Amino acid sequence: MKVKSMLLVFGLAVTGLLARSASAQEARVTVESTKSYEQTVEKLKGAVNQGGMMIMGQVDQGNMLSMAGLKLKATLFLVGNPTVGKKLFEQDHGVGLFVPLRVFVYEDKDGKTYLSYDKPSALLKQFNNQEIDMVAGMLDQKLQGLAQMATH
Amino acid sequence: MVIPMKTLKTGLLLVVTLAAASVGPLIFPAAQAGHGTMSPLATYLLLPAVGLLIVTALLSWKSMSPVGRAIVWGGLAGAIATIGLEVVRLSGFKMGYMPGNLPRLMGVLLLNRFALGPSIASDLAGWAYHFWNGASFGIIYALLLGTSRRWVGLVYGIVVGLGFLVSPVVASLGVGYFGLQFSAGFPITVLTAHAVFGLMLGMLAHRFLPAQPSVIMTELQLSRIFRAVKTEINTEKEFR
Repeated sequence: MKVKSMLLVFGLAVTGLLARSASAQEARVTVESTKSYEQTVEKLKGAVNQGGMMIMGQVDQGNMLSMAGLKLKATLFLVGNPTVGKKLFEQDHGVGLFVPLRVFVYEDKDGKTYLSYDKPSALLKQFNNQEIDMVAGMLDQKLQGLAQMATH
Repeated sequence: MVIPMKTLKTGLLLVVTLAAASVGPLIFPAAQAGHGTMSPLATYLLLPAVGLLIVTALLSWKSMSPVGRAIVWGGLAGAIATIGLEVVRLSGFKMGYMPGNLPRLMGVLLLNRFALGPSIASDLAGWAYHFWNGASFGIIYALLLGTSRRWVGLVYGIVVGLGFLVSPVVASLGVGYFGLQFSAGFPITVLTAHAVFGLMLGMLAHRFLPAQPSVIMTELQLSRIFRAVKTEINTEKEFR
């Protein structure tokens, strides 16, 4: 009996871990670009602008890591819109951990360029707020469109 | 015991000069220790200190003051000696013994563009700051230790290198005590680079300022002051 309950607990834990891992994988969107790294970055900047959003900041990891002797092409963009951000922050200030949104463009070891982001709906559902969920759903669509424009 | 006015004035000049020369080498470890950030420290402390040293050198040049000569020739010797340091440091970096390219890191911090990485402007700023530090250490060397004995430069360089290894800069790189968590090559490269710097500094300073004793000791006549104080102490003991 004791062994059975231990096995049950163990099984539940493993299932939970696998579900969490699968959920994390679902949240991640990675799109392979048909363009070079530099072209993808330029197209992304244009797409963000056309999509009614702004690049609020960027972290050029490739250039940063060149100081450590690594050759890498990778930039993280902080993308957002103050009006939309205001709606989210009005509901819960904690959204600041995820907003502005992070969009990552990088060239992988295979020489191909990828654009990657975590779905806002997956990141923000932890706040259990209907208004936030609605806005997050809209942002999912925005980012999807953005990713398509930047990579094709 | 009365200290002559001239000695007091010279003492003040020396203190101010040493303080100004120390600003450059200190702002980087200060920033990495969390006491401010490089960009404003450079703007509000380093640049005025550089200006002060230039003005001091110009004003004391005509009178052939040892302080003015120490600033110019000690500074030049230190800046040139930094080339020797760089030969070793860059070689170590190419061989993977250094965790990062420090002048480039200093540059992005000076221009407050860490997130964007280096640019031509930040590289120029970083290198200028790096060579200014070499000049500063040269000025301090000439003022404190004099240029009579060339071998003193070697010891001085190694001490500076050791100081760097235990400074907040190395701590902030996350490479462990003396950088040994990164590679044994790290402290070896750093100490070798600074030894070469010190050796070149000693030789060049001797060449530019032959046989100049420590400005502190001579200008402040410290040996005379020590003797005077000792005489007073002995006199007091006799009266008792």
